[in-house]
Amino acid sequence: MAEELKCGICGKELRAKDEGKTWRRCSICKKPTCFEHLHYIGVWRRGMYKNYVEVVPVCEKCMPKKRRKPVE
Amino acid sequence: MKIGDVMVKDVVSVDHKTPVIEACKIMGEKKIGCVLVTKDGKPYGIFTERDLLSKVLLEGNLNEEIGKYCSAPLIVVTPDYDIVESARIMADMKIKRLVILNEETEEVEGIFTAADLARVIAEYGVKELESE
Repeated sequence: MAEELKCGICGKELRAKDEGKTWRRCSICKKPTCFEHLHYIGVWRRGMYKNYVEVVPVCEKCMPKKRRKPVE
Repeated sequence: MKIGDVMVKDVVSVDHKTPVIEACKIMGEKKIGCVLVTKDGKPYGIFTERDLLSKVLLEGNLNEEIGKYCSAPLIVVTPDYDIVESARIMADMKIKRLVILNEETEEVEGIFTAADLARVIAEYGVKELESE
């Protein structure tokens, strides 16, 4: 049975053929997420010659919280 | 339309030991806003107009090597991203340039900037990009 595609955040129905156009899977939880609730973060990749930062899509739930500077 | 179809493929690169002033001359002559910085022939970082303003002109020296002031590591994407999504990435990450990297060879395939996005929109129109 085909997977029912719904945005993991808002529940909006998604079409499989629109992947990359209106939705993508969150690279952390792998749930389909519509573009309205999708963000992009950089993650370190260890390459053979050089380490670099690759842009990956993440949903709002998996979006890392920004580290706040400690208050003295 | 994919980012790999419209990216600029002839990326200008300089060695990390190149003086900043030399890189600035190249950027001026070629009318470009950034150069790729390499170390031992491999992509290392990117030197942009912003680096020139916020790092070199404020607290640096134009005769020092560019590797000291470039932005590293490189923030890269794969060439299979859609143009519209690439615009979303730039807006979401507050960046103006995407470096396109071949994940297998780890070679830089090209660069796609906000100016290139404007060029593509002017050429094809927003509706055509969205409908593809």
